Amino acid sequence: MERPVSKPIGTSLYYLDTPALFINKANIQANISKVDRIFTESNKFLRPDMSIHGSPTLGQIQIQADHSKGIYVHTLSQALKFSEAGYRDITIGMPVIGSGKSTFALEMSRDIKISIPITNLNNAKNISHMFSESGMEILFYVPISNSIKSIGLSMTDDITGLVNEIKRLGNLKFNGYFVVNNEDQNIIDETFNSQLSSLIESTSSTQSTHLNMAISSSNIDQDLGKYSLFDEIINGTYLFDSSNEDFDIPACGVLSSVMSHPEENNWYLDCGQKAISIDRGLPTINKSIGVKVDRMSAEHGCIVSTGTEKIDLKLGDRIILNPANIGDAFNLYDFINVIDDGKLTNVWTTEARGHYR
Amino acid sequence: MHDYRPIYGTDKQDLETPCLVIDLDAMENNFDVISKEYSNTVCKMRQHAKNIKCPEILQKQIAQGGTNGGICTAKVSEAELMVEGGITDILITSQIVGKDKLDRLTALAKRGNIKVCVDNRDNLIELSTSAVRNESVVGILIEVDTSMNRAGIRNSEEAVALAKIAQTLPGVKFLGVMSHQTIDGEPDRETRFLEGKKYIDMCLAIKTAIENEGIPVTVVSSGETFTYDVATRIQGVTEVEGGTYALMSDPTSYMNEFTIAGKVLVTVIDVKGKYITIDAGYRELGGPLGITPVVEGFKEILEFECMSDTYSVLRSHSEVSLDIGSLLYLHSSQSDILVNRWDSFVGLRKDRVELVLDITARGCHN
Repeated sequence: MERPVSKPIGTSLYYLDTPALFINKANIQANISKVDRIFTESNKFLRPDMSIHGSPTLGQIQIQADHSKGIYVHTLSQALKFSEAGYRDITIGMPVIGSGKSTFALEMSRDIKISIPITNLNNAKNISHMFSESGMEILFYVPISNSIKSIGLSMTDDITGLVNEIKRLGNLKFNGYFVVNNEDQNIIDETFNSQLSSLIESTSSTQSTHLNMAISSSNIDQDLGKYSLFDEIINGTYLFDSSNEDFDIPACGVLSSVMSHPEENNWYLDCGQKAISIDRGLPTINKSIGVKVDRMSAEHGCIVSTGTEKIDLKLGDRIILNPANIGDAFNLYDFINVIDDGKLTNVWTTEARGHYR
Repeated sequence: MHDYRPIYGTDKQDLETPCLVIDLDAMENNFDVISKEYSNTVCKMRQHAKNIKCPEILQKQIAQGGTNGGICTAKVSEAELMVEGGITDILITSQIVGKDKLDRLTALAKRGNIKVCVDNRDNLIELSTSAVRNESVVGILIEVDTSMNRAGIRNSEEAVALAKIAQTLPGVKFLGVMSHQTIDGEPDRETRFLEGKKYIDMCLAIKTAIENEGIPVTVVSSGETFTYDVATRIQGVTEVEGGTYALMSDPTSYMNEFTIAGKVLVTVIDVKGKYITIDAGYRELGGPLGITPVVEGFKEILEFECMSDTYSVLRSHSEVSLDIGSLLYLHSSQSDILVNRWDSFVGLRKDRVELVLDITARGCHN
């Protein structure tokens, strides 16, 4: 695992060994407060997506240490890490396929409330069988998707038939529907809401139906109104919104150093793909510095000047990189440097990092 | 606390997925190719740790032969891990800057034979100051940019000037030159040899320029997996920094003497007509700027349609018999990007777990 090069508490952000993943705590807390206000006013429940950062400690701030509040993670093994830290209500994004994972889900259900996705009857039968042998019950939800990009059934599938058949199996308690709605998959419109409304009517029973929705945009305040049918919104990126100009340091970033300057207008950083990920694009740099990331190899990042002005960057100078995808960057680190007022105040672990099963 | 660790003897079919797997027969074949190629040569392999990150595996190549007993690392933290893992002859192939990091490097030099590459005068002086402070000596290689368009000196004048300074400074010992190389596409053997020789010759020209100033050059560290058999045929090269060959990756599979050994075992979790969803996505596999892995046995049949955080959708170009629960192997597009995401390797031989190794240098970024 990553070797933390712990600097004394109080060390300036810019004196951390690089590359270093950091969060700016004040910015994060401001984002949490803002989103809490929005959700309080909307009467909807925010289920934070904690798979983005994988840190139960950071998650504590999101749920204000109230472990009865529900959270979302992608995998069972991430859920286990959060349950070990006291979280009691976890929605899991990945289907539970195979006897090993079904057993895993069963054992975890003994201690905490988990909800899993089901999209086909055979999978439901297998899980039901396993839970019936133990006399236990598990919550399930049905993901709905209009795109092959996300797991789920289409509105043209017989969702009502599936849900009602699963309910009859026993040991599986229907918990609602789950929809991914983001920049890539904008599924929510009038037609969809009408179809969903009918679906809810045809599948609701004495069991209550909770509707979860996952959105990846950080602008969750802009149009909450259009999710009138949904009780819960799943989001995690709001935490890292760096658009608030009250803060000089972004909500999160990767601090890097200039390690080579072999020719004019080219500098090489000690942060490459392995320390920030370029899976979903190159990182960005604050425009005021006058440089941008041109390319990245595994270990190096090449930055170039964006204008004609002479840029005075020397070996050892620090550059903050903003990841193209926050979750992809967190996935590479075992430790988060917590910065407050420009200084290191703590180092938190990302316990659930790398828990892919 | 629970972390998945399959017991020895577990059948492939019973592994929890996704799972980073090493085909041990394949890896040993790759190590054997190297030990044979370098068995009677002056030039030796200095295996790169950056895509393996596990001292036990690096020790296997050292034991199997063909190496000079040393390895390369990309970072100081990787080097620290390797010294703790019993490998003490290390070349750090990146420039190390900043007082704290240099102090770690020069402190490590008291515990091992540590060498580092430089391309800047100020950095060299800082390194010397740090070494003196720590009462250690660090070996110096000047990095030459031959084809990577990255760090490294651009001409012989810069190299000679650096070598002269290095000779005068305490705490550093000038050893020679080093370079990385790259080649595009799937070159045939002739192209590999032509291109590889061209880049290695650029490095050797710098060696000659330094020697012409009366400064001895004892180390020329040049060559990678694609030139592993080129470098041995060029007089003057003393070591090759190969790394990819150990686990291999799809883009280098044109070198068919090596076998893909590093793979990700995944499970089909959904099938919708021609679309097949598997339980691994960006987080587990990586897909730098759209470069996706390849599905073993289905190279022309299944391709990545899209990737999400923890799953991917494959599109089938013809009928395939895959159901929910079917297992597939994926070959990485770049093994070091892949390995850096995982905490352990599961070593399989004949589809049974023979060993599980921690990837102890995973995440060693600094």
